[in-house]
Amino acid sequence: MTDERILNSDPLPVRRLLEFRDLDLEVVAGKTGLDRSINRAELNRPALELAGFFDKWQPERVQILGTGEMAYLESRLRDESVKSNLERILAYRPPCVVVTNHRQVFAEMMRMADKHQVALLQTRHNTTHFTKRLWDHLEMELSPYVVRRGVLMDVFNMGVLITGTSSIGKSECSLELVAKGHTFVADDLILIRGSQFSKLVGMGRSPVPHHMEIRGIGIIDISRMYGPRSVRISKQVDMVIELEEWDPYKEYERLGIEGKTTRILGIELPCYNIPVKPGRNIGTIVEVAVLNQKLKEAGIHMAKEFDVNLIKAMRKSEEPEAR
Amino acid sequence: MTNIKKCESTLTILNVLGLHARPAMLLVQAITRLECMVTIEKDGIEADAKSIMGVLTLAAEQGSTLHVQAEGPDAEQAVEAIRKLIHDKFGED
Repeated sequence: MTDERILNSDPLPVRRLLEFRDLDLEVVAGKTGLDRSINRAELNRPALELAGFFDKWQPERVQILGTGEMAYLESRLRDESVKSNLERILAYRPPCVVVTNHRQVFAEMMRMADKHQVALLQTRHNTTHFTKRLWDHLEMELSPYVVRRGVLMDVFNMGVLITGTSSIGKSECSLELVAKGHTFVADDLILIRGSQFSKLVGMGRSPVPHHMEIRGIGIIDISRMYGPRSVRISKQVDMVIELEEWDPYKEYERLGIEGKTTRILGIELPCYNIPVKPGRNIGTIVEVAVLNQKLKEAGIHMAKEFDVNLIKAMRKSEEPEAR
Repeated sequence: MTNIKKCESTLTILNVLGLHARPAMLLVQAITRLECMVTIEKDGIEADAKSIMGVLTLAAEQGSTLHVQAEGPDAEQAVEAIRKLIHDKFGED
């Protein structure tokens, strides 16, 4: 049951784009098209199509009309062929059309959007900025995802997925981390999204978020107990910590010179196996694992440095003392 | 040969309030000591049936369909215990 089952996201209704406040989108026309869905994250600027070249046209993409396209349209609006090209673009029914740079949308275009039921949206942002933001949102919303069992925590600004068999103490360990001032994302079923081109982002799946079960106490609400600072909705997943029962016959990481990794959705993440046994303060060990990983990523490798210094010290003691 | 037993069943939640806190607790308690791994799947999401938060996260409302899978020596017993609880509406209604 450890094999990764990749699930595909549902298509995104156009209406949802209005909820992304960084996009600053307003509906100009084609309101009936708001319930249609977006299936692809890729975008298109239909400049060539406006000029009549439809050979590689991909109507399933969101269409972006920037300053160039709008200026072209305005200057040639009396040209019947340009008008019919615009109509043809809308008649193919792309998921929606966005006009950037707060460019004025002319009446003829609004009429076409209404007629073909394609949402015509407008934003004040320039095309490059808007395109990047929209692509980030679409990529995240439409990318495949996996569901992993564990607890997702933000420890020193690193997203840590704590996994392990049931009753190993994942929740207790996370509670200890919250008490130390770290941030809780979700317990038990963690939905992790990402594609090969992006980072992994994890979030809870519960309709009632930020709860945890602590044996002997019951269900607790972390945000109530520790305040709004103690929780967040989602977090990039940077590393995995696997808690496991102490096995006297297993070899655990003793030096930390070679790092272990694991894969989630094809993305390689550092992974630490931490054996659990009474008397080991797991919260503190998780903190240390995170700090160790942060130092490694900053180019500071403590185990390797120790080894280099030890070898240096041994060489020095071999040298005859210079007097 | 190792004795790996597998058992599965597709069940529909019958009680009005769905799989809320108390039913989830009863379900987890019924199988937690059994020697087997049990998962409950709803809408493609699979939860560990021995985890209260996992079972609750499924938010299985009345009428929803769950796929229960068990693996281990007590697999049959586990699936039967869950089937009975769901069938008896967890003593509710």
